[in-house]
Amino acid sequence: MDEAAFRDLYARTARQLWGYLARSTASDTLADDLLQETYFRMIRSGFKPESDDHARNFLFKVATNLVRDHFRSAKNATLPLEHSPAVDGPGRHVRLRQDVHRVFQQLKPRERELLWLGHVEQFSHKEIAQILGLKAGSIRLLLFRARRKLADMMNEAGLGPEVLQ
Amino acid sequence: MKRSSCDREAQILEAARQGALSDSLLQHATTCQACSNTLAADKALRLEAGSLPSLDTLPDPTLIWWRARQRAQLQQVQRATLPIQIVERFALACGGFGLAIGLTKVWPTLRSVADRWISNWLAAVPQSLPLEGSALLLAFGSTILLLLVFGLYSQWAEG
Repeated sequence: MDEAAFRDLYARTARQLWGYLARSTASDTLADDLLQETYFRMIRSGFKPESDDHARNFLFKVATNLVRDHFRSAKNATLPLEHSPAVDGPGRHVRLRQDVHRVFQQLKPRERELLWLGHVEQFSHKEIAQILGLKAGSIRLLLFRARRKLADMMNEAGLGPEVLQ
Repeated sequence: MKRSSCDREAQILEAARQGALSDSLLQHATTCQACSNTLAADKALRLEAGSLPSLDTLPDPTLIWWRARQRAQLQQVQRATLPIQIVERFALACGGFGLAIGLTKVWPTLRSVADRWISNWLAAVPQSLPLEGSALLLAFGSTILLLLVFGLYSQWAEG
């Protein structure tokens, strides 16, 4: 891969990858660092993407492993809570987004990863299983549980479906 | 409302993403907890995803590319020089070992020469020094040995 191809790939994938990292780690700074490390590893490995999907799968898998490695060490075991979404747009929408964000951050990292990959990135169950290193057959149930937990937490926080309309 | 997984979750999710939720699907969602949760979670996550930063605020790809290249080059150099480093350390260890063997072999000669030299020197200086010839030799030998060990350690630490 040459520099121009890398820049193209970066432009197509970096925002989504950063979003995933920021939600998984709950830290913008850490997301920046891990984003760079993810691309470092991609370049170093000599990875040649066959398609955008192929590249996305590879990048999200590397990023997931980096997040795991980061939190595996005891000194990084606790999650920082510095991340909050950019405050822009109409007031109600911003408040709603911040409320949803707060609820989302209360989920376990694995649940956040599952929901993000399944709903925001719209990966298939098979792809999610590959990225997270889980069995494909278990994804449906895990997603179901994570969705139920998020919905229950949203309801408890007064963010039921009628509020999100 | 049922709390278990529902077969229509995927269908309702697909329709919601395309903005084509039919009345029948909406009706189903009001009676199915699983589908209701799916819709709620999807809406919440799309709201959450709406706050992604622009590309300009993310780390510069040129810098990432450059650093990755730098890192790769450094690793290449380290890989290329690894055999040299191994040989260097091996040679150093052999040298140290050879020196130690040599010293034990020539030690009696060295000691007699040094004793002679020291006694000549002591005869020439006033008799006020507290140490005898052998003690001085021992101190001198220990210093050399310490310097040698320190030198080997420095080499090892730098490598």
